[in-house]
Amino acid sequence: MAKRLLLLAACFLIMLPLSGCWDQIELEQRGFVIGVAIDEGKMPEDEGKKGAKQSFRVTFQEVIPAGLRQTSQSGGSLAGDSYFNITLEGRTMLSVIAKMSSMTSRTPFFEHLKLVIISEKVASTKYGFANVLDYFLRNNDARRSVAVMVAKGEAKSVLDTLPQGEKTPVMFVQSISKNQDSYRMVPETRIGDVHEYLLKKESFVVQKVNTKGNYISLIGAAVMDGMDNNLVGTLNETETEGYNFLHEGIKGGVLEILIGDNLVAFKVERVDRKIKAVTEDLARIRFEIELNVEGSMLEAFERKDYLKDATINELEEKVTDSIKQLVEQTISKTQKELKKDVLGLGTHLKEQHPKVWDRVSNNWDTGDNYFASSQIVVTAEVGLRRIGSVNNTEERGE
Amino acid sequence: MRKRIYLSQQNTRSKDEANEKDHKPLSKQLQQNVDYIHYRLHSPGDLITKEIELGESGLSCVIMNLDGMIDKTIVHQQLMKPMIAFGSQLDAESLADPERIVKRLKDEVLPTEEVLSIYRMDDALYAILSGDTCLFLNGTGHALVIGTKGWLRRSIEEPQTESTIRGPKDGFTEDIRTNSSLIRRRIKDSDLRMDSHLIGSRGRREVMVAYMQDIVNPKLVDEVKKRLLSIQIDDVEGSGYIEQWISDSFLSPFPQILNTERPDRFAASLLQGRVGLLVDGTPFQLVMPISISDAFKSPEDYYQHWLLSSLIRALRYISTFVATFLPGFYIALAEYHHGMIPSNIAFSIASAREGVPFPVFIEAMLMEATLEILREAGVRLPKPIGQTIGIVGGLVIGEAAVSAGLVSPVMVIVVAVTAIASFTLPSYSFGIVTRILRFFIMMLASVLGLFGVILGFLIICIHLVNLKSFGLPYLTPISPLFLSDWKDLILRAPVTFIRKRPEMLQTEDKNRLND
Repeated sequence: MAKRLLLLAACFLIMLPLSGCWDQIELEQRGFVIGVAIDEGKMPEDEGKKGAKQSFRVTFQEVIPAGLRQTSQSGGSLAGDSYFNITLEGRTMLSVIAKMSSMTSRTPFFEHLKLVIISEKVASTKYGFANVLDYFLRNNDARRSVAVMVAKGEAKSVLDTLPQGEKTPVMFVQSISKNQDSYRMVPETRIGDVHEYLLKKESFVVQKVNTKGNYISLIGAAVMDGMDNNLVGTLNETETEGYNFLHEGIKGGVLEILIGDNLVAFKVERVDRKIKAVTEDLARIRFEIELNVEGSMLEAFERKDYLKDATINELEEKVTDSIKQLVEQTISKTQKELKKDVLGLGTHLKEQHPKVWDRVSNNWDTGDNYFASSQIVVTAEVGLRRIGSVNNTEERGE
Repeated sequence: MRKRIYLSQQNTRSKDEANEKDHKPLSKQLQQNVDYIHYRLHSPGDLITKEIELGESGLSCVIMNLDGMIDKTIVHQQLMKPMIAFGSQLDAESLADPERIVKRLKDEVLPTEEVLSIYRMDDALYAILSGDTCLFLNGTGHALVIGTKGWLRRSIEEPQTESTIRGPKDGFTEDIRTNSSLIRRRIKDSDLRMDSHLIGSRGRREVMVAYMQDIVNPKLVDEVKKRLLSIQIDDVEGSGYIEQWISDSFLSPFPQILNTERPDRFAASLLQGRVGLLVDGTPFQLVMPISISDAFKSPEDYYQHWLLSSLIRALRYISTFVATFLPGFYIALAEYHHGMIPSNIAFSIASAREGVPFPVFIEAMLMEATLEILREAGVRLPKPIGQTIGIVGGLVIGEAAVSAGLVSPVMVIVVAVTAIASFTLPSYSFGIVTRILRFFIMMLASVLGLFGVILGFLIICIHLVNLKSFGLPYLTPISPLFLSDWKDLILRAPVTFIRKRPEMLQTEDKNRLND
């Protein structure tokens, strides 16, 4: 009996090493891919396979850990490069990655992927945007926090820039996208959020990245169609500002307004949005958007006593006007030009007026496009919280 | 004189027929008794046999004791001097009645209170062997034993293993009398019981079962005594023998009996309703029963402000987890779950491991094994050399191994943090457990990854739930749950809030307050 038990125990013990260790890889044998840029490929159409029309040129950015190390010796450049790019062509992501693993010394590893950049061209083909992201959504390697961006022009060029202050271009772009003070760009779009929008068939905006020589900027936004999953247009700098006001996405930003003949800078600190929908007439649904803006005045070239009620009121009015102007630009762009609801008004109907939504959902921003025919009225309420540490700016002596 | 000891000899095992023979009564013939003792002890060089003639006509008597075991000034001042003075007063008439002389010696003459009559050979032998002096008189069937124990003792010093900052600095010594006095000085209560037993057929070591009669659960005392008397060994050298003989499970790495060098901890345990064992010849005394929560308690906790104690105790829990699981966790992450490490840390670990020729598991095993070797060497070597070993080892392993590229700096950090964390447990014997379990977890992690670590944790939990210490489940008060004992578990409530004795000990007297 004891012998038999011992045998059984030995069997169990042997089972551990036999079944274990199957997916063991040392950390330093992984090739950490942190960024992927997807451009249109130039492969000829394959006659044999139906549907094999499209091809992609994919650029991977992989870190070289040794190059990332903080070197204690003087002259940090001795450590060598901290990343390398590799560009390959193929018809599906998986085939490109398979090609790649035959060309790099380390197995590509996507669990630390940070950024996927898709070129405008690829994104604007029908379903193109969603198709490209399909691999990254299906494969559970990549996190749902991977940032997605649309590149103006060639996506690869973003990964080719020389980073300033960061170790790799991807880290550089990523840290820009996290800056909160700028409202000339939309908040970070994560692949998980994109997936949600795609499933809900809602239109949405994606961060846009522009390269100019060695400079990268994230100004503007790309508008995506929720139905066809492709890029339908872009918002420029001021339209993005308006979008941010409407979407509560703002965490800081500056409005320049004229008081008298001089500029005064108003720093926006908080925006609250309230939407009310009047749904009596489906063809002309009326949305009343109330923006509650708070901020402070931190720079004033006009000499005035900013503690006086009259001055404060004037300032608040001017800011209100300028916000309204911004917002209306955005609304006219999205509603009249792009005819895509990226402002979340459809979501509001869905949540607050489900019965109405049932009737309009199929033709919200497609087909009959109830969104385009709706009426959007914006009112803004501005509160000046602080005027800075200077109380009284002397009047300019004439 | 310790009367109780002589009466409680039933628990010393008869080791052979010689012992049976020793039950024979003392002879009336002086020379026979002396000869017999010389025969039994084989006339060793340190056996002093001093013959005195009492009075002029001479009633011969013999004093026997072992040189080195006795206090010579006591023998001189309290035995020889009064006896000689007494002898010179005696006339022939009184010399004819030796029994009366013995009675007068015992009651009037000898100025020491430690005098006792014995009637058997084995008692005489034991008295001599344990440092007392035997006085045989011709013509009487019994002898007098005079307490003259006096050997060199270590003075009371600060405990070596459980040091505190604010606590009392006295520690137990090897001498059981000193130790029992340390407890008596702390608990001046008539209900403090210290029952002596002689354990070991040859060593005949005194072991005192200490408890508070009106507090402790009587079943517990019975159980401890029952187990103590079941010890069948010739000698219990140190309390570790007793601990291993009477603990519940010999397979478990977890100590089921607490050993302590601190009288304050011992006394506090008695007042909580535990039973303590004072063992002669060792400064480590035993306390039982215990649960795992006692591993994290230090007497210091009660001397300091409750906020500080609570935080430090919480820290001990955390560092115990670190000491047990950190290397295994690191192995699992670095060998299997690279995606679970935050990106920047993953990159820096990868860059640090660049060029290290071993897999993480081998690297970790190498480092941990080296650390254990260093630790063992440091303990065994004489103190001044031990420190050198520490410096050399630290330098060699910390610097040279890294710069030679054999080991990554991250691994050195992991091993160092682990080693330091394992020292935060106040009790050394619990610290050993983390060292054993760490290797177990490391092996599981290297084979099965994080799944293995979790599996290891579950195995440990299952084992702990099953373990008992003298009937007390080892995980109390967590499971089974005693909510009122949580006041003194991870956090220590202010002293005024701890009004009850630990509920888990099922004491007779549950209240600590005087109302």
